[in-house]
Amino acid sequence: MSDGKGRRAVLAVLVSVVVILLYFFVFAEPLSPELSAVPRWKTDIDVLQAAAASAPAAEPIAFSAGDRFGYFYPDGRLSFIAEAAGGAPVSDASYVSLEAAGGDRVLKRPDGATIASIESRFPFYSGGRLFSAEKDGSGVAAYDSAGRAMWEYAFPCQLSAFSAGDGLVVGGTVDGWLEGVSLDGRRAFSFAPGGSRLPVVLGIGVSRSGDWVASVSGVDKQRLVVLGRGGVDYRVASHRYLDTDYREPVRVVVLDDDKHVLYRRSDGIGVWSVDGSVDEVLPVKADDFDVALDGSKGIAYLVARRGRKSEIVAFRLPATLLGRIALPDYSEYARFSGSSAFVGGKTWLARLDFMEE
Amino acid sequence: MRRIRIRVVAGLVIALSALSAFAFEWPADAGRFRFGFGAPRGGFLRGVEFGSADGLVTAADDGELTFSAQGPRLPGGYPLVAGSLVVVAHASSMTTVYAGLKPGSVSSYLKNVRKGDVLGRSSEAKDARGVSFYTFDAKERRFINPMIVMPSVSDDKPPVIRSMALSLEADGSYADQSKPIRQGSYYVVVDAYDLSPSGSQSSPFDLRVLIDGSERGRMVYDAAWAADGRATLFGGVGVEEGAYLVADGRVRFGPFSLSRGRVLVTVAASDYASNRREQTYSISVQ
Repeated sequence: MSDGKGRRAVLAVLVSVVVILLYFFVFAEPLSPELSAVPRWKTDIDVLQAAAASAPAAEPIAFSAGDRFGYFYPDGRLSFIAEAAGGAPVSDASYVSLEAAGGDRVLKRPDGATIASIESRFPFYSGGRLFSAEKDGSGVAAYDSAGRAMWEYAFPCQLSAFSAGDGLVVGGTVDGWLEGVSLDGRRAFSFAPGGSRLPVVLGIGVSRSGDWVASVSGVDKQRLVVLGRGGVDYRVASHRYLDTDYREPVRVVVLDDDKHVLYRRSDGIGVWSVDGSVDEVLPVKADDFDVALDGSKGIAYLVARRGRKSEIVAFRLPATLLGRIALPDYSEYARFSGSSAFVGGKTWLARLDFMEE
Repeated sequence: MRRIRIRVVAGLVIALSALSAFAFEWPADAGRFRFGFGAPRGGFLRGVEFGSADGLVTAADDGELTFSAQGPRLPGGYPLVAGSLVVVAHASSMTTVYAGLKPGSVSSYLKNVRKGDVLGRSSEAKDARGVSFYTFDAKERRFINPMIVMPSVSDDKPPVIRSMALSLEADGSYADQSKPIRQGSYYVVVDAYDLSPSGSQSSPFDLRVLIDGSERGRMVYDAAWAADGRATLFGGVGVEEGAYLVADGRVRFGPFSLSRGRVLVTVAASDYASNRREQTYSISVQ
């Protein structure tokens, strides 16, 4: 009798060992490598009108924090830093000088050379392209890199969301419609996500390719809808209802991998795949965020902002947290390039490189 | 056909006005009403604008707050051109939009709002613009002139017709009307305004052009909308904004073919309180 009991006990231990071994060999996920952030440089910044005497070979990077804007190089040298009330629209390729108050704006290259004067009262960059807000906030005009007006598009009412990719602009309206505008200024699609008691578009993300459009819309219930390009039209690729009740702008981003959508949720940042097969949450609470994907390493970096606090979060898609670093209060600037992060405020700039160990 | 359409639209305007009269309240002191629907404010103003003095901005009617944005721009970079934005949906399929509120003053915690609830404070915004107020018919997807749905504002002064000019359809150059002009096809370019309660030059409600006593063009400042990306004005005729507004804010009618002889061009303007002014210009055409 006791022999039988002993054999059963040994068997139970053996089964447990086999199950544990099976778990590790069959269901195991690779552990995240250690990721560390190595500070490269930090520099104080002040208004600096002259370009660096010997400009490095690298292209300058646009900088904007509060009233200050300008350019710096990846090695920490400043190109120029200027100051204007409310700042100025700036991209890596050009910036808009607003010094002629009430008059024409001047489009300039990072070295300060004038490209053209533009007749725009409210210029801005989105997706690296230059636009202008028009018609009481219900219109947009697009310019080419030489500052030439390309087209103007009027939406039926005020915009509550806006996003631009390389070949597609999408405006979301306060009455709950999405309207896509193609490169030549024609209507690419018009779509009302619907499904909610009250229609309104709260956030839009357009992929760089223009193939995917994600939106958060509606009040009671709110809804995430992803549209995909199908031939010449856009169709619903996936959707889900949300538990949120936002009545303010909601950040929505389609990553450059054309597969994942990040969106603000009350319990973190949602990660959704365009086909609906991934539905995860990053435990990062943020009112607003920006995200960049380092495709070579498969790691995404996001800067999450909540009030005056902000942090950088590194994660592997879809939602494996690798690490997070709190940034000093009032950090107003964050920019990613590969595995490098450039962060700063009105008076300082720093570079961190993320290294796998 | 056009007359019938104009009558239909005028009827609709009157019906809508009768139905909704006093349903809405002015969201700010009506005495600070500065620019009306159609005033040239960097384009055709689709609502009304109040002076920039500090004051409360209140809900025009019961409804539900569906959107508020307080930052200088939306997440995609699009700037909030007038400042903070608040949107309230009402039971009547009407949506009211309040733009230019002082950042940080918006009562974004409100969900259900009652008529007169404080939505925020006004402040001087970009380009000295004050608070703008829009009434949007969500069913028809059109901005409606708020004067149609708001309580009437005391007004006993007729609009002012400052000038009428003829511009050649072919090249847009202006004819010298002090001399006989050549027969041809001309636009009638009108500079007319109506004084708002705060004394600013705003748009009239109804503008007409008559040639030799016969009505040839009429614009009722009732609605504005967009279709396929094109901004369109006036429910009765549906004129593209770019074709109607001249860069300096004057408005353009036509083109009209003027034949030899003496031609009488009459411009008639009236405001929402039905004060009316008419001016006739005698043109010699060779």
